[in-house]
Amino acid sequence: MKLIYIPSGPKNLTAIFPAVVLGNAADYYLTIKSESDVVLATTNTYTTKPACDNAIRIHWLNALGTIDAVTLELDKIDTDTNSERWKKPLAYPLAKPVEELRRFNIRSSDTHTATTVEYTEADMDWLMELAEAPMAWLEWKGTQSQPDSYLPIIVLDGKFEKLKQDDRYVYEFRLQFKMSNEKISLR
Amino acid sequence: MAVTSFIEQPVASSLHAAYRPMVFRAVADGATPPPRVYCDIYFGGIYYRTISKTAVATQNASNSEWVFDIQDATQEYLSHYLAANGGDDVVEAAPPLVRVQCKFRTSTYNAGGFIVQETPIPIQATSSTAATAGGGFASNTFYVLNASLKHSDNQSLAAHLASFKKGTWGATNYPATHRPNQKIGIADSDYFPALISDELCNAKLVLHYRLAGETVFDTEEVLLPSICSASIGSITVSQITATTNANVSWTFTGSPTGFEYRLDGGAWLTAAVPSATLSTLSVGAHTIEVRGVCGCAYSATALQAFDIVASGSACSSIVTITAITQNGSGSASVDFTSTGPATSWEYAVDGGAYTSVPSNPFNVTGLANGLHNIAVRPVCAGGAIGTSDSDSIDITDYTPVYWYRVRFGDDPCGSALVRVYSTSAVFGSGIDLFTNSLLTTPLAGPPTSYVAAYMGSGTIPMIGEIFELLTYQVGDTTGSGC
Repeated sequence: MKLIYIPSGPKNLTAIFPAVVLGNAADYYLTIKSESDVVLATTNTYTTKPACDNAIRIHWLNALGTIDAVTLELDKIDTDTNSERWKKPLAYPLAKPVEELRRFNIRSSDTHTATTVEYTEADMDWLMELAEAPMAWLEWKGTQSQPDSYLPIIVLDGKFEKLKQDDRYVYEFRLQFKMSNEKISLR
Repeated sequence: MAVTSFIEQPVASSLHAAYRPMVFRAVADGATPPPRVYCDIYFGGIYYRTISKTAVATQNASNSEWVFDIQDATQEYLSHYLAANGGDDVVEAAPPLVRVQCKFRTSTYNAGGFIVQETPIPIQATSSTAATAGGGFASNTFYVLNASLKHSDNQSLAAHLASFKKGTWGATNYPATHRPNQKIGIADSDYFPALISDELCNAKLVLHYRLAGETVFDTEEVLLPSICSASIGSITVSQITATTNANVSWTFTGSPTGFEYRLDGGAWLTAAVPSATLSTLSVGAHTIEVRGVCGCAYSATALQAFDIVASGSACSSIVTITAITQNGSGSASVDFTSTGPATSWEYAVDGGAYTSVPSNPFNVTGLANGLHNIAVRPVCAGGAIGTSDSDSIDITDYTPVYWYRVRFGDDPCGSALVRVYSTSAVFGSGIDLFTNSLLTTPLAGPPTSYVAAYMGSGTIPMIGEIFELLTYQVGDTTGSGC
């Protein structure tokens, strides 16, 4: 027995099936067939949607030790900064550009808030695996001549609506996360 | 008193979640239970670690039952695999899934009352050496996925995963995800994880797609490249003494179903285990190539060159013993140098049989008081013996000739950081035994007395040459004491 990852995203399939252009609202799924055309495995069905500027894709370590992913809309990013102050004695005569107070041990982190309303009550169990994920990554498009990759994130603890009485036809899944690697500031 | 059967064990080739019990109930023969039973855990055919027990689960008239759960070991071993963003290959992810087997060994008491393990005992791998498999009664081989199951889930992982199948699946293939159908951006990357039992020989990846406004699915298919994530590491070749045969072994990663090797670019030969014997080789240079087999696919090939020398040809190596020193009661350390092409060395005590030298220097133990002769000889490839050397040592009672006692500070709550130097002294009483070494890790501890005993000969060291106080921290004596 082996665990395989079948490339199934439109980004992956472009190189494998260059003749097929998966435009908006296309449905697709993949199968693995044996040499004698017996179907061995079938993926879930995907429906494509436009690539929005504020869309992000989170990959996470799920309850089965494999990687799942979901596309969310990024609502906002809040930056929190904290620091300490250092006060130094001044020399006489006072020089104009010389400071007395300086910040040090500056800690800054961005809290991202992202949501999706595309999943139903029946899918909430699966999305809770993201809320409970020990490790998660933000799909990252390479910049500065770097290849596309992932950036590790930390999913923040929170309260998630899994079942409700009102408006049961729309479930808003709201996720907050921070980047896993700290910013390094100048001293 | 060996383990001879199981009352309970995972079914052969079954699939299990790492975060639930994986229980073995092994039966050891004998009305008297063995003092300890060992469960050696093998991941992907490679020895990982051992758990052992002294407590019998059930004692019967003619045998004893021992229960082991290996879930802790699988949880610490298994990891995750993150496929490349936007990658276009079907990739095999080894760390989240592993093939597991356990071997069970027992033990007995020797005449001195110590527990003696059933042999051969497996040896863990290090950064430079491969793991060595041990003996014992083998369990079924099964698979463990780095997965957890909720209390409400079917505790059979295979049955649980089968309930998440969508569309057509092979009977023993499963989705390794709970994901529903979903929307996805046209620039998004994704992979679908699946557990596949079938061999993917000349398998095809088929895209079924229905563009907007269409009602039926079109298909496109491509042939999948063969998948074999196994890789061969280092290859070791050693000529068998006094022959032109050679033993070859290799390390590997991944979960190959077997191996193939060939000599000097010839036909490929199969090997079920990571070793083989090459017979009747011609004298001179050779190459051996090894590759892992994953069903119908092969891993990358590893190559190793080696030389075969004529059996019985002269060995020009010369051994010179540089020092033999007593380093314990009935124990001596032997240090030697060797020239020439020797590939191994052997030693003999008092004209006895030669034994392999494990290292240089090496210890000879079990020596009675009195004069002993120790000989060391070089052995070249092909088994030829070089020029040996021998020297004598007088083994005496190993008793202290000078004692030291040192105490740092009088504060009962304080702590001292002490560096211990040792030239040829032996330290005891609360400190481990050190000889001829400078401790790189200082000893920390309360300012209790340290006691040392000098065992060497010649000038007796000054106490300042033994102990050095690095730091001393006065303790907090307020309150109820420390």
